[in-house]
Amino acid sequence: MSTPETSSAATVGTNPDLTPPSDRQILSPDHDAETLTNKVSSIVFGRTPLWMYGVFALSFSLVGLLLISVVYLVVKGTGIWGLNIPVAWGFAIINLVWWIGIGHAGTLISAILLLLNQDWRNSINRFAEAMTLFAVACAVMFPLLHTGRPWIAAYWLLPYPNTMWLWPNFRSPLMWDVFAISTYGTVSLLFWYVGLVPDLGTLRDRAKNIHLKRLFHSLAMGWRGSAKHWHNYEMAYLLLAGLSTPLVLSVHSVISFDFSVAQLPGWHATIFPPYFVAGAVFAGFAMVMLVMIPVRFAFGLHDMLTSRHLQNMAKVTLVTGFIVCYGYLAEFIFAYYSGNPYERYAIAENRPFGPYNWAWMMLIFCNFLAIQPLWFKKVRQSPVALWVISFIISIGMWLERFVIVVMSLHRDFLPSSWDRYAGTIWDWGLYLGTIGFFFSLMFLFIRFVPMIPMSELKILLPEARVKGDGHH
Amino acid sequence: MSEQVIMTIDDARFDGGDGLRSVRQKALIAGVIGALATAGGYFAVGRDVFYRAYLIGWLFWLGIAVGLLSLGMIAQVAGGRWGIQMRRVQEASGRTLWFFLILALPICFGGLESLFSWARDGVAASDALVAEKTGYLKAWFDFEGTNPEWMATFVPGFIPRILIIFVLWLLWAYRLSALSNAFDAAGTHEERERARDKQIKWCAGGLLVFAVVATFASIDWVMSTDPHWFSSLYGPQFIIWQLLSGVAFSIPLMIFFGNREPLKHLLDPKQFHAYGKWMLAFTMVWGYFNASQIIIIWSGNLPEEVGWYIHRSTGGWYWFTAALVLFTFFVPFVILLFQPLKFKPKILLRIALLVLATRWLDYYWNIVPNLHPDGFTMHVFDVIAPIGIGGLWIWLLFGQVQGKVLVPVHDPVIQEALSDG
Repeated sequence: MSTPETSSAATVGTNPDLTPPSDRQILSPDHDAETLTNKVSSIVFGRTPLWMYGVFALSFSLVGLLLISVVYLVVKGTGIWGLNIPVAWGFAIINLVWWIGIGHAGTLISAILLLLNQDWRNSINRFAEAMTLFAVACAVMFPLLHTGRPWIAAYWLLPYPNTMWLWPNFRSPLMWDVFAISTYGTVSLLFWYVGLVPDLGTLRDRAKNIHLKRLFHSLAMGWRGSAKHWHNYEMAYLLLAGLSTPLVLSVHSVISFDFSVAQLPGWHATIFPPYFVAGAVFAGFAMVMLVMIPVRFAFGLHDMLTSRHLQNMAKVTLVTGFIVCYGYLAEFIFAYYSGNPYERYAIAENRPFGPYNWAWMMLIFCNFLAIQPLWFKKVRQSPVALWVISFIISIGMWLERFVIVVMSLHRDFLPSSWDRYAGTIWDWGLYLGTIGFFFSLMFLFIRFVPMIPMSELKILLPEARVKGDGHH
Repeated sequence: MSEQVIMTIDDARFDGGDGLRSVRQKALIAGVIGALATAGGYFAVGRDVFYRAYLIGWLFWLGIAVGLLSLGMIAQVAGGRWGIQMRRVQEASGRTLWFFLILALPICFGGLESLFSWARDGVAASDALVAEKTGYLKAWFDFEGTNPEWMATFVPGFIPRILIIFVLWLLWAYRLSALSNAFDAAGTHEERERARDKQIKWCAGGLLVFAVVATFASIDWVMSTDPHWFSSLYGPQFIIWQLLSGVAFSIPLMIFFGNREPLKHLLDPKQFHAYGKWMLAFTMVWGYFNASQIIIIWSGNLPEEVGWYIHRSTGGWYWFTAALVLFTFFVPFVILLFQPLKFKPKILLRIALLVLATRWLDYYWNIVPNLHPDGFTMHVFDVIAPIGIGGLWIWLLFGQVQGKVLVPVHDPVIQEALSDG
């Protein structure tokens, strides 16, 4: 079966010939190689739908807010933020952890699910990988800006031989962060780009506009789709997957060390590394669903992003959510078991009954109670319900970092040094600005790059499975 | 999908024959001799050595049994073809758990004071940190003088906790077996689907319960041998110890059942490869957890925490620690990285035996330096006690599979595997 090439993105998805995929399928059974290519590339080559101008304008106006917040910060210094002593780490570190966490779903989907032969990942991996890149871009802004003079941050952060024989402190996890995050960003970018190469080749062949053709031509790096090319490509892809797998664990573990190596009650807990990693994947999957569900609806991609995709993502969210809740439980148990009165106060008194207990209660609601409906298949099958739950989780994971950072710092050991903390308008401006930055990049990605990997989806077609398992 | 009859329920039963009889006989002989030697050892080597060897042997075999059961539950929840073949054998292991509850009696009623300093008279009075924890570290329900006070009412002590932990494990073990029987007995497709759905839900819920249970088990049976020390990563570590034990012990079981009907045609090199991958993954998680724990504790450098590592890096324990890291992490990690090796049952068996040996070393390393912080110690009896417990348990385990349906013939995944095979 073949369909005439669609010229407008607005008409995509209204193809009446396609049988809707069943609950267990990851691709509509009527698709063949040509219809897949037509449908995905028509989003890139078609006209920009009107609604996209609207949402892009909205998110880009937030980028304006970001620019204003950054300029004012650079002019005035970090004093414009709500930081004080004892709460010397506020929104900046909360947002760093939040954004880095969001990126983790991309790495998990692209690397670990590939190694585990989970073929449903093939339609969502590129989308999630792009999210990883943009989330990392948002995340790194915060520590750099927190230095106050980001233009000389490299001078403080990177170890290089200098005449004053000054080195960064290698025993500090903040130093490890520099390496962990930069490695993570680099490998994620490579992985995303290598995966894109065959599809860029397809776009080059299909582009009619000469400038676009030239652009895709250089990006595709001479891809011809020969057997040798495919062989090298698959090898490179697998190697990068292997390289990315430890990164899923290491990046957020190192981030968790920022807190846990300190002696502060509420921070110093050995459960932190796996608890942070699970939280990152939890938040990441929530964000993938949060963005993907409306995009799936807007472009009519129900035949490629099927109910099975949403259900599987919901299950991963539920599992990682429970690991996060286990972390909350372990913090309580060990606060008591430690016998340490400061630890007991921080976890069991200040959190549920202290001045910020609203944040703690909302956290329990968002990350524990709100995910319970995911036990039911009906909920996992409903995109609207999943979207609402994902939204709640995204708020919950931000609150989790607020609880860990602010609630531990603001009341440490001596009551005489306790203080309160609140973000100022500039803290919020920077945070909302990065959200706008993230969505602006997401919309550009959706518009200009095939967001669903055509080459990898074709592996799932029945004709690709002639030799047993396809490419696995 | 219309169901093809490739294997009937009767074909799927395991009668075992001479192979099974021979294994059970050998296990029983080793078990009885080991048990007698263990009992005699009580008088020969003294209470302290006896109880520590006994506790470690008990934890080692219990870890295998619970690890097998948990793996079966993970396989059922995750679906897919890697795990379903061994699930019924893993369920059988769950039905042996009562044996370990009986074996816990000597620890509860004889060894408490030898193993746990908090249980000794007067320790709470002279040790401020232990005094802070008496609400938890107590044998029964001590209502007076516990700290913090609310724990006196709501938190049961060490011995009732053992009972609660085992009741939960046994509840799930027998429930899952009953649901498997219901699945086999079901006449219609709908009934089967219902039984299967129910089992998946029990498995998912069970994994949550097991995680919480393991946390308390890890505190009670291992961590509290040093009543000052704590690490909130210990529960997840205990889970990994058990899963690693379960995966490693599955390899010899797979070799045994792979040579016999009804699993003969279902256990191909792909299954071994899958178990090899799990072994690699759990080995990496073991390394990850231990590395995280030492980085955090060493950097924090708090007196009640860092002492635990100082004991293990001084006075002869240093070399034991180095050997543990080498053989528990580096050696299996490097070997298991090579894909072709994971397809070869014989090589995998050797790695599995190494992994099992390091499980024992790991329990030893986690417990004995707490009891002997001054220097390395080991007794030949430390090896004898586990042999006795293990022999008897293997005899029981193989008794539990005899005559049982080992292949869920109506399961769609098994149907697919059988028709491919």
